[in-house]
Amino acid sequence: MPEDAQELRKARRFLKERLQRDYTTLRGYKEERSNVRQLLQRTAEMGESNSLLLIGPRGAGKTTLINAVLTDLLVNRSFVDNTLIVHLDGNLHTDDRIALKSITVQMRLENAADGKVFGSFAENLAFLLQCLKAGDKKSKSVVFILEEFDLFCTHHNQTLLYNLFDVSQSAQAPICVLGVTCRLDVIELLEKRVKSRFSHRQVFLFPSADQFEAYTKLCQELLLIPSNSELKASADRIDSLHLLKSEALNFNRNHFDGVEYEFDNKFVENWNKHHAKMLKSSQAQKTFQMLYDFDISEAFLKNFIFRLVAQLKPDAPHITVDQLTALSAQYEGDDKIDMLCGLSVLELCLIIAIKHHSEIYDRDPFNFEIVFARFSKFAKISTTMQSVERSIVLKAFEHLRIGELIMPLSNSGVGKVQKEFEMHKMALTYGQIQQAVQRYQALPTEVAQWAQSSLI
Amino acid sequence: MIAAHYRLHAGAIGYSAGKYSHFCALYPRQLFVSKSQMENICAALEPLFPCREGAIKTLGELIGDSREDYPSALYLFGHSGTGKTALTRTFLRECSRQQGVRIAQLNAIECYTTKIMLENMLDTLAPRQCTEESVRADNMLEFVEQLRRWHDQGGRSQSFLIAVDNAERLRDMDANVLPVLLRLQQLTSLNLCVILLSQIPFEKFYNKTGLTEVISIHLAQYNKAETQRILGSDFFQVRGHLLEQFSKDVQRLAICEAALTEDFYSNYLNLFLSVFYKACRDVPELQLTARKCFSIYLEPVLDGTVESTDVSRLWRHIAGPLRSALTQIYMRTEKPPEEQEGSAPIEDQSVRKLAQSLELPYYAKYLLIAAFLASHNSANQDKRLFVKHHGKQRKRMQTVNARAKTTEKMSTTLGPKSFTIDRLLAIFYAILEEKVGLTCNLLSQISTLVHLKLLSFVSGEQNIMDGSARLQCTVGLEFVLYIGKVVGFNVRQYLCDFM
Repeated sequence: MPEDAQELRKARRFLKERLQRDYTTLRGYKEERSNVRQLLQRTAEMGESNSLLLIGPRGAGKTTLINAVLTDLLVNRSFVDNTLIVHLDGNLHTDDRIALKSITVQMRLENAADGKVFGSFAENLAFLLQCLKAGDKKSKSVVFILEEFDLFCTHHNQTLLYNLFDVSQSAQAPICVLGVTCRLDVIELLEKRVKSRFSHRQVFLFPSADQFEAYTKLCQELLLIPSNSELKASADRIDSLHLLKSEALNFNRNHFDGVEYEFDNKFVENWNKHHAKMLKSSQAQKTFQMLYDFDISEAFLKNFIFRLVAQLKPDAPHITVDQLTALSAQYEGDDKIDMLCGLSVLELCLIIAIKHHSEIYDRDPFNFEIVFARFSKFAKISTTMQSVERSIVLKAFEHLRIGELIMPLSNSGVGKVQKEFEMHKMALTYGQIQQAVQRYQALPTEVAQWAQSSLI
Repeated sequence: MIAAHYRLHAGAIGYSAGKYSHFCALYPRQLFVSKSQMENICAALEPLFPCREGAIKTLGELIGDSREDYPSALYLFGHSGTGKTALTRTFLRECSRQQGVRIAQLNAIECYTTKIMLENMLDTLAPRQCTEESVRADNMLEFVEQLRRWHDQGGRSQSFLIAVDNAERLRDMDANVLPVLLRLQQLTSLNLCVILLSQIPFEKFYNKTGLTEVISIHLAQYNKAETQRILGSDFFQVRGHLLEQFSKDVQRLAICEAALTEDFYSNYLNLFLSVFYKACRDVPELQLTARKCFSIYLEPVLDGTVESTDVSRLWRHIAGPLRSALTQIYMRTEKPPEEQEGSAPIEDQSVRKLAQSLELPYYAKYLLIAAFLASHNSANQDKRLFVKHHGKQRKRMQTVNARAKTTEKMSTTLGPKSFTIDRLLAIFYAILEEKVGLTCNLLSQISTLVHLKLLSFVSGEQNIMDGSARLQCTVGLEFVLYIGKVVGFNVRQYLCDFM
């Protein structure tokens, strides 16, 4: 039915958008959230200065937490009027000069700073903060969000960090410095004078590994379609995002908005019933348990569900358990074994020769000549590998190197040593080689036997 | 027919989300439902890329429809010759043609600085109206800001696809390139997807602090049946080419037309793959060689000596040429056509032939042998090897054990060591029976050998005169053994490895 296909297309689009662009929905982390929220609120309302580090593994929801807290605070009139948000990313602002320029732009002070010559970085920053004081009795407060905080530590003399922390310590303008990083040892990266100015407030975000219940609930939440009234309920929150006036912080610009969608009730009911049932089935549970064992982060799960949702089409209007298990099998597989199975028999023979060499000499490095000598011994008595020229074998060896199945010991020696004599190490385990030999299609028996034992 | 009609209109309207409803009203809904954008693209690609239906379907599902959200990054990997680049290029072109997506495809090898890469991307992605002034991006921040500005202008209706070939090179570029590319969608808030193409698994990209999630798609190597099918799809092209070639020769044309059937060609491919498949699975390379060797296969049929159905006699005829072609695979030693006609089309390129073709003077040959011996023997063995009355050696357990060498520890497998010119000359005089003066003619032969790349300088190229320059011999054992045979000198006898 065309209407159904229409609805399905809409549902696919809706789900994809929610997975990709829902930047502000944070699940869990109640305590941490209120912690950060209070800190920002105090900066905005009481003019307190502060600094805080948010530490957690990739995909744990650090940025989402900040986004969520900012969105929470948008309800607060005084926060909106009284705070400036400056967003810096360690990957984009690669040195302090670029960062300072970006700060000036984000504080909308280009005109004020234009034509002025500053003696030092501190002077420049002090001027910018001073500008905020002008006019009002009370100074505006500034929230600095530093993503990839560890990268700012590599800047020359850590000037930016020193100055920001210095301002946050002394009673100048009220600023709050929020650092976001995935390095646990980030404090050790700070210089002594910077470290002593940091407040040592740290918030850790660790997704816990023993909450499978919550994980399955999350799956359900990501896969089911909410009713129209539920969609409308969250509209206010998303509408308020336009209050966030920041050029660099751009999650507000294309945040997922559920109000644009209106679904047929029957379709939604049907969809939700089917998928709730599917998720409850024991096989689906087993699959999700496996994914949970791989990676507990929400980002990983979203990526997985995105791929599932993408498979929806009019002929297959529901996600089935088979699709689920087939896709999860892809995550289970080892890419290197797949690459090994795509090699020619000759290249696999070289891998086997390298394996024997590593076994006998306890993972000593090898060069082409050593491998070729071992291979030639086998080729002499084999029926398939006879009459393979040395130049072809060398080419096969180079192919292994391009695929990074073997790696040169040092990068500096290129050009000095002849390529036949350059030492390499193997980037595979014996288990991977064994599995590849088992899975290889139409491998000559003698090669398979040689893989088992180095005696010829 | 209907599909073609539809595609024509979709292209003309220049599909964007806004115009889409207008389109719906014009055409019956059934037609619209039966073919989605994604299916159109897949249908266009499938005939072009046989045996790649799975990958095309996955790509279509993920980035086939520009109105839906793209994933932030895709990673396509597989061996060379599995169609990564070609597939992506055609896919992107179809996306741009049918859906008006802005695309950029570039090769990371060409971008030796980040700036070049970023400006290349911006140039190809730029909307038409602002092409006059060329866009500048000195660093990542400016690049991202430029993309954000486009977002302000065009809104979300415009989609972008960026493909980067040889993505493994991105690891060697500035540290921020790879993380930013993987998160570009989030940073720019555009509907944008970055597709990375490479020959290595994604795990090789992980750095110290990890990377954002990416969807990786593996293009598996074609198996034998698939390879044969792909090579077989050349048949009409090969046939057309041959018929054109014989268009003047009536008798041959007749034979050619009768003999050239699809069965005949697939029989040939079967024989061809039985020789080549074990050594090479790279389809473009196989395709090239298969076309080259086919004329040899066809020759006896054209002469009328062998029936086109007599596979076993044809095999006997082709087996030799195929084996010698195997030694040349990947080499691409193309010769100009006039030269090719005289000699055998495919020539054996073994070391023996190479050594034969090298016309060195007599003393130069001895110098080369001396250099090889100096490179592969340690200096403290020289006395024993080259001096007549070197005295008696005491046998100790230690030396006996050291002598018990395995192939892996031999100096011929570990590579040449360096030597000074003094030592080279000393060994030269020791192995040469006749007396020859140390003239500048003799010394100039050393520099000739260096020019021929048979010897190379390791260090001290500037101070040859004071004797501190060190050389090494770059040729292999097989080559030197052959040279030794020519001048009647047993090289093995003087190598410590073989004692």
